[in-house]
Amino acid sequence: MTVPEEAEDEPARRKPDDDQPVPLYVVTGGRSESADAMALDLVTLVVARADPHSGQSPEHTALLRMCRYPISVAEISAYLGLPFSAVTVLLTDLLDSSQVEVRQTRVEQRQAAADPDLDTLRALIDGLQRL
Amino acid sequence: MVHVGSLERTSRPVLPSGRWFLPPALVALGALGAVFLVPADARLAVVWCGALATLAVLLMAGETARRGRVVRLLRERVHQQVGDADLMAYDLLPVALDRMKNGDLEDDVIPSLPEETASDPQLVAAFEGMAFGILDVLREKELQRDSAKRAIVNIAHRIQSEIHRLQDDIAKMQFRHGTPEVLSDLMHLEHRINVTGRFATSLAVVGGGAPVRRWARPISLHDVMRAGSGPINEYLRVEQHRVIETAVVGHAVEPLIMIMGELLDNATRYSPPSSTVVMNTEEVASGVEVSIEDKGAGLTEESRRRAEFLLQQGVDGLDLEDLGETARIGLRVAGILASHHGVKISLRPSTCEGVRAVVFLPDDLLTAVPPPKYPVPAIRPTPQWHLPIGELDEEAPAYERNANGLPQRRRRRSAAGAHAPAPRAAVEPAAARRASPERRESGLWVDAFFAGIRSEPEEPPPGEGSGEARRPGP
Repeated sequence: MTVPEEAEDEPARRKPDDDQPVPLYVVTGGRSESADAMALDLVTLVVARADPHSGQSPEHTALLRMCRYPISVAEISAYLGLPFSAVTVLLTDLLDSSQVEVRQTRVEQRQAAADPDLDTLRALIDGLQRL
Repeated sequence: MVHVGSLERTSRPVLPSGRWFLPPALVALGALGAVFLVPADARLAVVWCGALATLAVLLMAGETARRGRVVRLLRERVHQQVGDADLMAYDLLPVALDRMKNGDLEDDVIPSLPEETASDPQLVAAFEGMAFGILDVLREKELQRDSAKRAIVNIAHRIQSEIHRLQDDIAKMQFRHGTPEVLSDLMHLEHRINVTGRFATSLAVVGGGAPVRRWARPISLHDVMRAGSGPINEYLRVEQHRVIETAVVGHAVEPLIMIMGELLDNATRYSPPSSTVVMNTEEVASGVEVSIEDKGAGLTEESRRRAEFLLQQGVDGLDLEDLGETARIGLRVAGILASHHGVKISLRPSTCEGVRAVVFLPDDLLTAVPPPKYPVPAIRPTPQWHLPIGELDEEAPAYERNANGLPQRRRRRSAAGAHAPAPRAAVEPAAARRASPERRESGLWVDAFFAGIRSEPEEPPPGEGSGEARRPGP
């Protein structure tokens, strides 16, 4: 679960307009890790289940608004300008209150890769031989 | 010995004239008597003696009278000069000193004496000499104070810019190292750095400088309030309730963050460590009030007055010696910044015995909330996913055989309807999208995503095939 090394391409200094006035530790309330390290990764799709209500932090509100449509964690991270781990912390908050749902894409693929379906492989071999 | 100024007065008759004439008249009278009494042969001699004696007494009396007049005049002058000196010492000089204390060190601060009191040019010269002497000393001191302040501001600014560089670096590192452990350490570092940065900014502000960081765009009030809790030690105890949807204009953002930081620091410092400090906003006539309420022991009337005094004192009233009082410096900083930006701060007793600091932001510091930088899709029926986290979204990898007999992976959404059993989860969004009149919107996020990647102006979203584009087959 590491963020790709894209920081190297960045200009030496960020534009002041890209700065966020609120420090990251205030956004996440000092947490850097979600309580149960859930299988959230960069391509996990997130969709909102509820509308934002007043009293939520701006990041939670933004997250719920942009997730009306399924959107990947990577995109959320880019739009909010927050690191991936911080986004997972925020997402876990919303998951705990059932305001969003996530859908794994990688887990199934990983499982499929670890436990290949023999029928499919056999069908593949058969089909290739028939060509 | 007698001054020009007073010479005119000598011509004025001061004594009742003629009294000094009495002694010589008596002598003359005596001599005349003696002339008649003495024998005739001695008469001539007596006449001479009498005449001489009368002359001598006349001269003496005249001289005495003149001196008497001079003494009288001198006494008068002394009285007048004492009066003038009183006027200078007790009326004119204190006013001038007050003005000098308030920073008016121009030459015209020395008052010119009124015409009628200018009894004595020497006295006037002496007064002016003394006043200019004081002025010189004060100027010298002011110069030293200024240069000391400048040095402090200079150093504080250097620390500030170094800290901003650190903050930038840390922000970049937070993106570069996504692992929670490293991020946790980076957050801790960022917090410590921000606390240090607040001290450096305080120092600069107290010395007459300003926060180095500037914002070109408006920042939402909620963000400003949260950013205010960033550079204090116990930021986790600060909560925001009821925040009005408004934004703060760029130039006032950093000062407001500082003001709120100092007030929050004060609030968390003087309240029990387990209690929360609550921030609230309220719309009032011609502005917005942000209140910071703690649950501490509150302020006595005297300490409240003292705190308000500190808040209202401008930068000019400050001496560098006051820097020693660390606990008080925060309120001063808040007061100085507030006075620069038309913000009013007042301290009121809170309902729960604590202190309620109220920051009034006038309308001209507020502006509309900037639009979000992320795309907000139009409202549409949310897809009906029923599978909890971690479960596969498909019952089993369902493959079809193509004409060649090769397994072909089903297109997850667009083709799902046409083929054999698929979970409801996959069918419904596809079907809904196909039937939906809002077809254009279905691909918006893809467009936005690619537009973001390409950093090119957004192209019109493709109408047909957007479903394909959204989830291309793996």
